Amino acid sequence: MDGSELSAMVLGIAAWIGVAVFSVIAVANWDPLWGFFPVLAAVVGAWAIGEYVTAGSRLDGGGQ
Amino acid sequence: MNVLRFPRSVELRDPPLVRALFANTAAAPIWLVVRTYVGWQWLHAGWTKVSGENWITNDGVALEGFWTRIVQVPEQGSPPIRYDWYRDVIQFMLDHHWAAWFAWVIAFGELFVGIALIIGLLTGVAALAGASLNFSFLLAGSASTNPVLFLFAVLLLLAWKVAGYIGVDRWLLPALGTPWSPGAAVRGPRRRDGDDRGSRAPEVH
Repeated sequence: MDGSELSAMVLGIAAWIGVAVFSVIAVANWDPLWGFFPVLAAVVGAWAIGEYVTAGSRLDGGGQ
Repeated sequence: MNVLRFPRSVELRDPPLVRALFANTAAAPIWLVVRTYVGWQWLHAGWTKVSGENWITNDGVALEGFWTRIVQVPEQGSPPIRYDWYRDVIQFMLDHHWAAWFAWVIAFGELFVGIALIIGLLTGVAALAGASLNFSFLLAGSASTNPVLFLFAVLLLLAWKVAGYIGVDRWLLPALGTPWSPGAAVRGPRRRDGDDRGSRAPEVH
């Protein structure tokens, strides 16, 4: 794993850890029905970050 | 005389639709929505228990009360638990006052299953743990949302290879690999002779 792949992995996992923290904050403060949608939005945001940081890397199939 | 012979080993391929749904990363957005919904349900259930009273506090009196109620066999009608062996298990736990610590296992188990499903962390393992909880609650006679969550958990189990692709599993599964194809983190660092097989992310089959 080269440096770019490592940094992509660190950034991607950091984004998902952020989602985990946000989910706990959401469940502690928001209604069980409406709290789901901000969490879904956070998940989609982490997805976008993951796509951005891995674009062109070998993890994305670019080197295979 | 003709003897009917069966081939000893034939590997049957899954149909294209099954492979597209359960083994192709293109289906990952579908599983993202499913696992976020199921994870949110578990997270809320776990948080209600962790933050509420009488579950992990007061020696799990809420769980003990639930157990006490479901082991009852009414003179008329059906008991909550239909299987005697399962009633014996619950009665055993009641007799040994396991509710105090078992309530912690359930509450934090639900919490961690919820978080793991939402962020796609070992999605297959989390789905299996969730399905086990659903199965236990159904055996205890508590339907609620358990049948639907159980169905989704089974689907996530079938899609374990790709269900967490939009999540931590995107990096974790190639690093860990499988028992039959260990990943880079398990096999060790890159070899000095230039052979980088140990560092390449393996395909998870």
